[in-house]
Amino acid sequence: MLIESLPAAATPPPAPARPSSFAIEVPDALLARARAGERTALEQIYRRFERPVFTLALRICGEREAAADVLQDTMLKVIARIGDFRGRGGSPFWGWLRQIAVNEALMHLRRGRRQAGELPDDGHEPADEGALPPPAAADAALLQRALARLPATPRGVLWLYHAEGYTHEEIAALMQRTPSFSKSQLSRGTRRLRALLQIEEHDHG
Amino acid sequence: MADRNLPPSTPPADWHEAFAALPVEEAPPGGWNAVSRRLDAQRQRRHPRWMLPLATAAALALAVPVWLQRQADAPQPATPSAVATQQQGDAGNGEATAIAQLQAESARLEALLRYARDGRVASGTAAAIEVQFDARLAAVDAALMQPGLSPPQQSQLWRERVELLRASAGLESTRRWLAAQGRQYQPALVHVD
Repeated sequence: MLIESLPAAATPPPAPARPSSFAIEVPDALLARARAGERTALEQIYRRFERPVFTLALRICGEREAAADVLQDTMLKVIARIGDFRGRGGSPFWGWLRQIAVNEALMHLRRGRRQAGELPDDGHEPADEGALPPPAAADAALLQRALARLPATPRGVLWLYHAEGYTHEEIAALMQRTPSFSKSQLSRGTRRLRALLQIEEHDHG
Repeated sequence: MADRNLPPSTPPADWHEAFAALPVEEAPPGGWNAVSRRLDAQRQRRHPRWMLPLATAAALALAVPVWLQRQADAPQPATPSAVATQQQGDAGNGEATAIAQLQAESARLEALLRYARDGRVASGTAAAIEVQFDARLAAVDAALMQPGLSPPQQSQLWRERVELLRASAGLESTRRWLAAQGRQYQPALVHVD
Protein backbone atom coordinates (compact mmCIF):
# COMPACT_ATOMS: atom_id res chain seq x y z
CA MET A 1 0.00 0.00 0.00
CA LEU A 2 1.21 3.48 -0.78
CA ILE A 3 0.10 5.11 2.41
CA GLU A 4 3.06 6.61 4.31
CA SER A 5 5.42 4.79 1.95
CA LEU A 6 5.94 7.07 -1.01
CA PRO A 7 9.48 7.46 -2.30
CA ALA A 8 11.49 10.49 -1.32
CA ALA A 9 10.85 13.50 -3.51
CA ALA A 10 13.50 13.77 -6.24
CA THR A 11 11.92 16.55 -8.29
CA PRO A 12 10.05 18.80 -5.91
CA PRO A 13 7.38 20.97 -7.51
CA PRO A 14 7.44 24.67 -6.75
CA ALA A 15 5.94 25.52 -3.37
CA PRO A 16 2.14 25.85 -3.68
CA ALA A 17 0.81 29.41 -3.50
CA ARG A 18 -1.47 28.30 -0.68
CA PRO A 19 -1.27 25.18 1.45
CA SER A 20 -3.41 22.21 0.47
CA SER A 21 -7.05 22.49 1.50
CA PHE A 22 -6.40 19.24 3.41
CA ALA A 23 -3.95 20.96 5.76
CA ILE A 24 -6.30 20.85 8.76
CA GLU A 25 -4.91 20.06 12.19
CA VAL A 26 -6.74 17.41 14.20
CA PRO A 27 -6.31 17.55 18.00
CA ASP A 28 -4.78 14.48 19.62
CA ALA A 29 -7.77 14.14 21.95
CA LEU A 30 -10.15 13.95 19.00
CA LEU A 31 -7.93 11.39 17.27
CA ALA A 32 -7.79 9.29 20.43
CA ARG A 33 -11.57 9.25 20.67
CA ALA A 34 -11.91 8.42 16.98
CA ARG A 35 -9.45 5.53 17.40
CA ALA A 36 -11.61 4.27 20.27
CA GLY A 37 -14.51 4.17 17.80
CA GLU A 38 -16.57 7.03 19.23
CA ARG A 39 -19.14 7.91 16.59
CA THR A 40 -19.25 11.61 17.52
CA ALA A 41 -15.48 11.90 17.08
CA LEU A 42 -15.61 10.10 13.73
CA GLU A 43 -18.33 12.48 12.61
CA GLN A 44 -16.22 15.49 13.57
CA ILE A 45 -13.34 14.15 11.49
CA TYR A 46 -15.71 13.51 8.59
CA ARG A 47 -17.05 17.07 8.76
CA ARG A 48 -13.55 18.58 8.79
CA PHE A 49 -12.39 16.72 5.68
CA GLU A 50 -15.64 16.35 3.76
CA ARG A 51 -15.07 19.30 1.43
CA PRO A 52 -11.34 18.82 0.68
CA VAL A 53 -11.91 15.13 -0.13
CA PHE A 54 -14.92 15.90 -2.31
CA THR A 55 -13.05 18.67 -4.15
CA LEU A 56 -10.02 16.48 -4.83
CA ALA A 57 -12.24 13.62 -6.01
CA LEU A 58 -14.22 15.95 -8.26
CA ARG A 59 -11.05 17.37 -9.84
CA ILE A 60 -9.66 13.89 -10.50
CA CYS A 61 -12.87 12.07 -11.49
CA GLY A 62 -14.61 15.00 -13.16
CA GLU A 63 -18.15 14.08 -12.03
CA ARG A 64 -20.00 14.99 -8.83
CA GLU A 65 -21.62 11.56 -8.49
CA ALA A 66 -18.28 9.81 -8.75
CA ALA A 67 -16.76 12.30 -6.31
CA ALA A 68 -19.52 11.57 -3.78
CA ASP A 69 -18.76 7.83 -4.08
CA VAL A 70 -15.05 8.48 -3.58
CA LEU A 71 -15.82 10.63 -0.53
CA GLN A 72 -17.82 7.81 1.08
CA ASP A 73 -15.28 5.11 0.24
CA THR A 74 -12.44 7.30 1.49
CA MET A 75 -14.09 8.05 4.80
CA LEU A 76 -15.08 4.43 5.41
CA LYS A 77 -11.50 3.40 4.75
CA VAL A 78 -10.15 6.15 7.01
CA ILE A 79 -12.49 5.00 9.79
CA ALA A 80 -11.56 1.34 9.29
CA ARG A 81 -7.83 2.09 9.41
CA ILE A 82 -7.63 5.00 11.79
CA GLY A 83 -6.08 2.74 14.40
CA ASP A 84 -3.14 2.17 12.03
CA PHE A 85 -2.24 5.86 11.76
CA ARG A 86 0.95 6.46 13.71
CA GLY A 87 2.14 9.79 12.32
CA ARG A 88 5.60 8.39 11.62
CA GLY A 89 8.28 11.05 11.35
CA GLY A 90 5.83 13.74 12.36
CA SER A 91 3.66 13.23 9.27
CA PRO A 92 0.28 14.84 9.89
CA PHE A 93 -3.05 13.07 9.97
CA TRP A 94 -4.32 15.14 7.06
CA GLY A 95 -1.49 13.89 4.83
CA TRP A 96 -2.40 10.29 5.67
CA LEU A 97 -6.07 10.94 4.95
CA ARG A 98 -5.27 12.76 1.70
CA GLN A 99 -3.23 9.78 0.53
CA ILE A 100 -6.23 7.52 1.02
CA ALA A 101 -8.45 9.98 -0.85
CA VAL A 102 -6.06 10.15 -3.82
CA ASN A 103 -5.78 6.36 -3.94
CA GLU A 104 -9.55 5.99 -3.85
CA ALA A 105 -10.07 8.58 -6.61
CA LEU A 106 -7.49 6.93 -8.87
CA MET A 107 -8.95 3.51 -8.11
CA HIS A 108 -12.37 4.84 -9.10
CA LEU A 109 -10.92 6.00 -12.42
CA ARG A 110 -9.34 2.60 -13.01
CA ARG A 111 -12.58 0.79 -12.18
CA GLY A 112 -14.42 2.97 -14.68
CA ARG A 113 -11.69 2.32 -17.26
CA ARG A 114 -11.30 6.04 -17.69
CA GLN A 115 -7.56 5.74 -17.25
CA ALA A 116 -7.41 5.49 -21.05
CA GLY A 117 -8.11 9.22 -21.08
CA GLU A 118 -4.45 10.07 -21.52
CA LEU A 119 -2.86 12.54 -23.87
CA PRO A 120 -0.75 10.66 -26.44
CA ASP A 121 2.97 11.12 -26.58
CA ASP A 122 3.26 12.79 -29.96
CA GLY A 123 7.03 13.10 -29.79
CA HIS A 124 6.79 16.84 -29.45
CA GLU A 125 8.88 18.06 -26.55
CA PRO A 126 6.82 20.59 -24.62
CA ALA A 127 8.45 23.92 -24.00
CA ASP A 128 5.75 26.02 -22.35
CA GLU A 129 5.28 24.28 -18.98
CA GLY A 130 6.90 27.15 -17.14
CA ALA A 131 5.14 29.88 -19.12
CA LEU A 132 2.56 32.10 -17.45
CA PRO A 133 -1.04 30.86 -17.51
CA PRO A 134 -3.31 32.89 -19.79
CA PRO A 135 -5.44 35.64 -18.21
CA ALA A 136 -8.53 33.41 -18.42
CA ALA A 137 -6.96 31.17 -15.74
CA ALA A 138 -7.81 33.91 -13.23
CA ASP A 139 -11.50 33.25 -13.83
CA ALA A 140 -12.46 30.30 -11.60
CA ALA A 141 -15.49 29.35 -13.71
CA LEU A 142 -13.51 29.29 -16.96
CA LEU A 143 -10.65 27.36 -15.38
CA GLN A 144 -13.02 24.78 -13.87
CA ARG A 145 -14.77 24.31 -17.20
CA ALA A 146 -11.49 23.93 -19.06
CA LEU A 147 -10.23 21.42 -16.48
CA ALA A 148 -13.44 19.41 -16.84
CA ARG A 149 -12.79 19.09 -20.58
CA LEU A 150 -9.32 17.58 -20.10
CA PRO A 151 -8.93 13.79 -20.24
CA ALA A 152 -8.93 12.24 -16.76
CA THR A 153 -5.26 11.33 -16.49
CA PRO A 154 -3.64 14.68 -17.36
CA ARG A 155 -6.29 16.43 -15.26
CA GLY A 156 -5.37 14.24 -12.28
CA VAL A 157 -1.65 14.81 -12.84
CA LEU A 158 -2.14 18.59 -13.15
CA TRP A 159 -4.19 18.71 -9.96
CA LEU A 160 -1.87 16.52 -7.90
CA TYR A 161 1.21 18.41 -9.07
CA HIS A 162 -0.02 21.99 -8.99
CA ALA A 163 -2.75 22.04 -6.35
CA GLU A 164 -1.56 19.35 -3.93
CA GLY A 165 2.19 19.69 -4.44
CA TYR A 166 2.98 16.04 -5.26
CA THR A 167 6.25 15.30 -7.05
CA HIS A 168 6.46 13.42 -10.35
CA GLU A 169 7.93 10.46 -8.47
CA GLU A 170 4.98 10.42 -6.09
CA ILE A 171 2.45 10.77 -8.89
CA ALA A 172 4.15 7.97 -10.80
CA ALA A 173 3.91 5.70 -7.75
CA LEU A 174 0.24 6.57 -7.24
CA MET A 175 -0.63 5.93 -10.88
CA GLN A 176 1.62 2.89 -11.17
CA ARG A 177 3.51 4.52 -14.04
CA THR A 178 6.94 6.12 -14.48
CA PRO A 179 8.02 9.66 -13.54
CA SER A 180 8.53 10.32 -17.28
CA PHE A 181 4.89 9.50 -17.86
CA SER A 182 3.85 11.98 -15.17
CA LYS A 183 6.08 14.69 -16.67
CA SER A 184 4.75 14.03 -20.14
CA GLN A 185 1.11 14.15 -19.02
CA LEU A 186 1.79 17.35 -17.08
CA SER A 187 3.34 19.07 -20.09
CA ARG A 188 0.74 17.96 -22.56
CA GLY A 189 -2.06 18.58 -20.12
CA THR A 190 -0.78 22.10 -19.48
CA ARG A 191 -0.63 22.79 -23.18
CA ARG A 192 -4.14 21.46 -23.73
CA LEU A 193 -5.46 23.41 -20.75
CA ARG A 194 -3.93 26.61 -22.10
CA ALA A 195 -5.60 26.01 -25.47
CA LEU A 196 -8.96 25.24 -23.84
CA LEU A 197 -8.74 28.42 -21.75
CA GLN A 198 -8.03 30.50 -24.82
CA ILE A 199 -11.09 29.00 -26.52
CA GLU A 200 -13.20 29.65 -23.39
CA GLU A 201 -11.91 33.20 -23.17
CA HIS A 202 -12.72 33.78 -26.83
CA ASP A 203 -16.23 32.34 -26.41
CA HIS A 204 -17.04 34.30 -23.25
CA GLY A 205 -14.75 37.31 -23.39
CA MET B 1 -18.71 32.92 -16.28
CA ALA B 2 -16.62 35.95 -17.19
CA ASP B 3 -18.33 39.30 -16.74
CA ARG B 4 -17.76 41.71 -19.62
CA ASN B 5 -18.35 44.68 -17.34
CA LEU B 6 -15.44 43.79 -15.09
CA PRO B 7 -11.91 44.98 -15.87
CA PRO B 8 -9.66 42.28 -17.39
CA SER B 9 -8.45 39.77 -14.77
CA THR B 10 -4.84 39.86 -13.70
CA PRO B 11 -3.26 36.65 -14.96
CA PRO B 12 -2.15 34.37 -12.14
CA ALA B 13 1.60 34.27 -11.54
CA ASP B 14 1.67 30.52 -12.20
CA TRP B 15 -0.51 27.44 -12.35
CA HIS B 16 -0.14 26.85 -8.62
CA GLU B 17 -1.71 30.19 -7.91
CA ALA B 18 -4.49 29.64 -10.48
CA PHE B 19 -5.41 26.24 -9.01
CA ALA B 20 -5.15 27.42 -5.42
CA ALA B 21 -7.66 30.18 -6.17
CA LEU B 22 -10.35 27.70 -7.21
CA PRO B 23 -13.12 27.35 -4.62
CA VAL B 24 -13.42 24.31 -2.37
CA GLU B 25 -16.50 22.40 -3.52
CA GLU B 26 -19.53 21.68 -1.34
CA ALA B 27 -20.24 17.95 -1.02
CA PRO B 28 -23.84 16.75 -1.48
CA PRO B 29 -25.84 16.82 1.77
CA GLY B 30 -26.39 13.69 3.86
CA GLY B 31 -22.90 12.29 3.36
CA TRP B 32 -22.26 11.56 7.02
CA ASN B 33 -25.66 9.90 7.44
CA ALA B 34 -24.84 7.57 4.57
CA VAL B 35 -21.43 6.74 6.06
CA SER B 36 -23.03 6.20 9.46
CA ARG B 37 -25.59 3.82 7.98
CA ARG B 38 -22.85 1.85 6.26
CA LEU B 39 -20.93 1.64 9.54
CA ASP B 40 -24.08 0.31 11.23
CA ALA B 41 -24.52 -2.24 8.45
CA GLN B 42 -20.91 -3.38 8.84
CA ARG B 43 -21.39 -3.71 12.59
CA GLN B 44 -24.63 -5.59 12.02
CA ARG B 45 -22.81 -8.09 9.81
CA ARG B 46 -20.17 -8.59 12.47
CA HIS B 47 -22.72 -8.86 15.29
CA PRO B 48 -26.06 -10.24 14.04
CA ARG B 49 -29.24 -8.85 15.59
CA TRP B 50 -30.10 -12.03 17.50
CA MET B 51 -26.87 -11.70 19.47
CA LEU B 52 -27.70 -8.23 20.79
CA PRO B 53 -29.80 -9.21 23.84
CA LEU B 54 -27.20 -11.80 24.85
CA ALA B 55 -24.32 -9.42 24.29
CA THR B 56 -26.03 -6.64 26.20
CA ALA B 57 -26.90 -8.84 29.14
CA ALA B 58 -23.39 -10.25 29.25
CA ALA B 59 -21.77 -6.83 28.95
CA LEU B 60 -23.94 -5.32 31.66
CA ALA B 61 -23.39 -8.30 33.92
CA LEU B 62 -19.64 -7.77 33.57
CA ALA B 63 -19.61 -3.99 33.60
CA VAL B 64 -21.75 -3.28 36.64
CA PRO B 65 -19.74 -5.30 39.23
CA VAL B 66 -16.46 -3.97 37.80
CA TRP B 67 -17.76 -0.44 38.00
CA LEU B 68 -18.98 -0.93 41.59
CA GLN B 69 -15.60 -2.38 42.55
CA ARG B 70 -13.81 0.60 40.98
CA GLN B 71 -16.07 2.99 42.81
CA ALA B 72 -15.20 1.28 46.08
CA ASP B 73 -11.46 1.22 45.36
CA ALA B 74 -11.05 4.63 43.78
CA PRO B 75 -9.81 7.59 45.84
CA GLN B 76 -12.32 10.39 46.15
CA PRO B 77 -11.24 12.76 43.37
CA ALA B 78 -13.56 15.66 43.93
CA THR B 79 -12.15 17.40 46.99
CA PRO B 80 -10.02 20.46 46.22
CA SER B 81 -7.37 19.50 48.75
CA ALA B 82 -6.91 16.11 47.14
CA VAL B 83 -6.61 17.71 43.71
CA ALA B 84 -4.09 20.25 44.98
CA THR B 85 -1.96 17.55 46.62
CA GLN B 86 -1.96 15.54 43.45
CA GLN B 87 -0.95 18.54 41.36
CA GLN B 88 1.99 19.21 43.63
CA GLY B 89 3.23 15.65 43.08
CA ASP B 90 4.00 14.06 39.77
CA ALA B 91 1.26 16.01 38.05
CA GLY B 92 2.47 15.49 34.48
CA ASN B 93 2.65 11.69 34.29
CA GLY B 94 -0.19 11.14 36.71
CA GLU B 95 -2.51 13.39 34.77
CA ALA B 96 -1.60 11.79 31.44
CA THR B 97 -2.22 8.32 32.86
CA ALA B 98 -5.52 9.42 34.38
CA ILE B 99 -6.64 10.92 31.05
CA ALA B 100 -5.67 7.76 29.17
CA GLN B 101 -7.64 5.63 31.66
CA LEU B 102 -10.66 7.91 31.37
CA GLN B 103 -10.48 7.81 27.57
CA ALA B 104 -10.37 4.02 27.62
CA GLU B 105 -13.27 3.88 30.08
CA SER B 106 -15.21 6.33 27.92
CA ALA B 107 -14.68 4.17 24.84
CA ARG B 108 -15.77 1.00 26.70
CA LEU B 109 -18.93 2.64 27.99
CA GLU B 110 -19.75 4.12 24.61
CA ALA B 111 -19.36 0.71 22.94
CA LEU B 112 -21.58 -0.80 25.63
CA LEU B 113 -24.21 1.87 25.09
CA ARG B 114 -24.23 1.33 21.35
CA TYR B 115 -25.35 -2.24 22.00
CA ALA B 116 -27.66 -1.43 24.86
CA ARG B 117 -29.64 1.38 23.28
CA ASP B 118 -32.70 0.09 21.49
CA GLY B 119 -35.34 2.52 20.24
CA ARG B 120 -37.95 -0.25 20.06
CA VAL B 121 -38.29 -0.40 23.84
CA ALA B 122 -38.07 3.32 24.62
CA SER B 123 -40.92 5.24 26.21
CA GLY B 124 -41.26 8.88 25.24
CA THR B 125 -39.90 10.04 28.60
CA ALA B 126 -36.92 7.71 28.45
CA ALA B 127 -36.18 8.83 24.91
CA ALA B 128 -36.30 12.47 26.06
CA ILE B 129 -33.80 11.72 28.84
CA GLU B 130 -31.60 9.98 26.31
CA VAL B 131 -31.66 13.13 24.17
CA GLN B 132 -30.67 15.15 27.25
CA PHE B 133 -27.73 12.84 27.87
CA ASP B 134 -26.65 13.15 24.25
CA ALA B 135 -26.89 16.95 24.35
CA ARG B 136 -24.76 17.10 27.49
CA LEU B 137 -22.29 14.70 25.98
CA ALA B 138 -22.06 16.91 22.90
CA ALA B 139 -21.40 19.92 25.15
CA VAL B 140 -18.53 18.08 26.86
CA ASP B 141 -17.16 17.01 23.47
CA ALA B 142 -17.29 20.61 22.27
CA ALA B 143 -15.40 21.71 25.39
CA LEU B 144 -12.79 19.01 24.76
CA MET B 145 -12.26 20.40 21.27
CA GLN B 146 -11.14 23.77 22.62
CA PRO B 147 -7.46 24.41 21.98
CA GLY B 148 -5.02 25.00 24.82
CA LEU B 149 -6.75 22.94 27.51
CA SER B 150 -4.47 22.19 30.42
CA PRO B 151 -4.10 18.53 31.49
CA PRO B 152 -6.23 19.09 34.64
CA GLN B 153 -8.96 20.68 32.51
CA GLN B 154 -8.82 17.78 30.06
CA SER B 155 -8.91 15.32 32.90
CA GLN B 156 -11.95 17.03 34.44
CA LEU B 157 -13.81 17.02 31.11
CA TRP B 158 -13.03 13.37 30.45
CA ARG B 159 -14.22 12.56 33.99
CA GLU B 160 -17.50 14.37 33.26
CA ARG B 161 -17.83 12.43 30.02
CA VAL B 162 -17.31 9.08 31.74
CA GLU B 163 -19.79 9.97 34.48
CA LEU B 164 -22.40 10.93 31.89
CA LEU B 165 -21.87 7.67 30.02
CA ARG B 166 -22.12 5.68 33.27
CA ALA B 167 -25.39 7.37 34.13
CA SER B 168 -26.68 6.70 30.64
CA ALA B 169 -25.63 3.03 30.89
CA GLY B 170 -27.49 2.78 34.20
CA LEU B 171 -30.62 4.18 32.59
CA GLU B 172 -30.35 1.71 29.73
CA SER B 173 -29.96 -1.30 32.01
CA THR B 174 -32.99 -0.25 34.07
CA ARG B 175 -35.02 0.33 30.95
CA ARG B 176 -34.15 -3.08 29.53
CA TRP B 177 -34.93 -4.81 32.82
CA LEU B 178 -38.35 -3.14 32.89
CA ALA B 179 -38.94 -3.94 29.22
CA ALA B 180 -38.19 -7.61 29.91
CA GLN B 181 -41.05 -7.50 32.41
CA GLY B 182 -43.42 -5.85 29.94
CA ARG B 183 -43.20 -2.46 31.60
CA GLN B 184 -41.96 0.91 30.39
CA TYR B 185 -39.54 3.34 31.91
CA GLN B 186 -41.58 6.23 33.34
CA PRO B 187 -39.10 7.98 35.59
CA ALA B 188 -41.42 10.31 37.46
CA LEU B 189 -39.17 9.85 40.49
CA VAL B 190 -35.92 10.19 38.57
CA HIS B 191 -34.30 13.51 37.96
CA VAL B 192 -31.22 13.91 35.77
CA ASP B 193 -29.00 16.81 36.76
